[in-house]
Amino acid sequence: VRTARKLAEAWRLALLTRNAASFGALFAESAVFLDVEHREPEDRLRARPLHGPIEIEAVTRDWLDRTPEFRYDILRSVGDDLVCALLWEYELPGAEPFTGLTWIEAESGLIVRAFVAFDSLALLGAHPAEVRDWISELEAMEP
Amino acid sequence: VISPPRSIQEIAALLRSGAATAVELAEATLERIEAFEPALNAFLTVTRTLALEQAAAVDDLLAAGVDLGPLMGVPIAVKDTFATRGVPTTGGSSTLARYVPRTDADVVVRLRAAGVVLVGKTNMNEFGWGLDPRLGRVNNPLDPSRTAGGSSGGSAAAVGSSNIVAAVGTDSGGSIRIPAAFCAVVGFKPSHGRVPDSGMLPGCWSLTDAGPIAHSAADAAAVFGCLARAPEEKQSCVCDPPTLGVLEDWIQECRPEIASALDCALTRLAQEGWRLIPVRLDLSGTHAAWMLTFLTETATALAPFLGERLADTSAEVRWAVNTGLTVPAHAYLRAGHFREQLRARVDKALGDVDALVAPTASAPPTADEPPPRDEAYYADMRFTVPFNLTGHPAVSLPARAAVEPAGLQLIGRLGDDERLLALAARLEDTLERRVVGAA
Repeated sequence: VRTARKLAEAWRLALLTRNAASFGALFAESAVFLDVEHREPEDRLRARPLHGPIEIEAVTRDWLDRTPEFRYDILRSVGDDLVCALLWEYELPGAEPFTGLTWIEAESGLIVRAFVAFDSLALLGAHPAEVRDWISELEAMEP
Repeated sequence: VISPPRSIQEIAALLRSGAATAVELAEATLERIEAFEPALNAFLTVTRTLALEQAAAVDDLLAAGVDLGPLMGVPIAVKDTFATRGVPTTGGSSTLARYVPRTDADVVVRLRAAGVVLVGKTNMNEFGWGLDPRLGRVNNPLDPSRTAGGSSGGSAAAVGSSNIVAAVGTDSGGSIRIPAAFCAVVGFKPSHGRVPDSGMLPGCWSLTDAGPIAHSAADAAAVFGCLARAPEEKQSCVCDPPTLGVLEDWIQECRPEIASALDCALTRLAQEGWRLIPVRLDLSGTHAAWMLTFLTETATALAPFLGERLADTSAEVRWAVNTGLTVPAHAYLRAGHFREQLRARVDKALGDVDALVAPTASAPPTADEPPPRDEAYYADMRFTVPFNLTGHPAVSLPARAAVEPAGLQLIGRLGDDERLLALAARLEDTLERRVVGAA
């Protein structure tokens, strides 16, 4: 049975290998996943908890589709078999790296609750690499 | 058995002489479509019942002495982005498989009023960008192992196979002209705004125009005349001899088989007395401006329309929407500023000539279509995109002498659509006459 810490490592690996299916498979059917970046599409002020592996996989796939290559390092983790807290650093190309915290609770080798918190405004300055290149191309053409 | 008519004029003559009824023509067309579909996959919906009802109504009207004009009784198909009352409208996406509009798009209203017989909705790239594997790609009628191009590939393949004489598509970056070139038919993107866009599925509004695909410029003009608003100003006649501004460096960038086909056509025109003047138009910045505009507008229009259904679309569509949502306002505005400057440069290049001439696509159709994010995908569009950015009318004509399907693109002045199509018809006549003479 995977411990909470092992699940945290598998979480990181799934994201770095851009494998949404593997990421979703870490969660129990009853799992609840709350990330500060997950908002209701029609109301960005409302948090949107994700429920179960299918929804988590779909949202993760969508996020990976629009996210360029990134760095995601675990700086420190504390916990036991059932819970784990992580301090991590995340970096998109062309943007300043930032840190955040993840809380994982495990049962029977699957995640049943997860919280992710970070300064999501730090993402505002980051655009996909293609968008940055297109902007640079037009900027270079202006007198 | 009625052999496939090759033109709107031929259909008009058959109907009015009593040699065929509209119902007979519709039945023959539907049979051909059914026979070709396994190879082409050009249609998402074949509207058999509707077509036969409309054809019967046409026969009744003709018998009563009512003539609705040149398109009356002509079997036509429309791209599946146009809303059709009571007929599924998918945008090439199985996520909309159950969407049945209650009203018609303006384009469909105009076609119905002209007495057209609507035989079906044609296959297309998913929302003009991705490919829904559940619906499949459109195969080329000249060689089904190759793509028909996109995104109006179904419309071009249906015409290219001679199953119908004309169809309607839309063009945001070459989506009428490129498949027309690949299928060796005529494709016309009108001046921006000449054809009403109400009732099209949401997409990039400032780049997109609906237009005809047909076997000839004359037929394209007939369909355009039905679809379009009246021109704002009276248009002048084509000069005699016509003068073309040739974008020679664009032709030189093409694959040898395309470049030689275009050179051959231009040589013939020169021999027939057409004046050819070399002109230059720098393509720098067009890719960036088009992508920033296309993705921003597509995302703005599609994200609220699809809502959670976005998750069920292809990776290409999800990427387009999600990337478009990240484009900052200053970048979209900067692209708009670039477009104004490019429009002025194209207007200047058109100053002393009747039209510009350029390749449509730089290479022939391939077996595998690269994904839209791929640079190779954009390479096919780089000669068509500039005129979506500027809004100028542009028509792709088959370069008749080509071994591979090669499109010759004519670009006219803004709003001078009818004049451009008249010039295109004259160019066709000149090339055809020479080919016949040479034979």
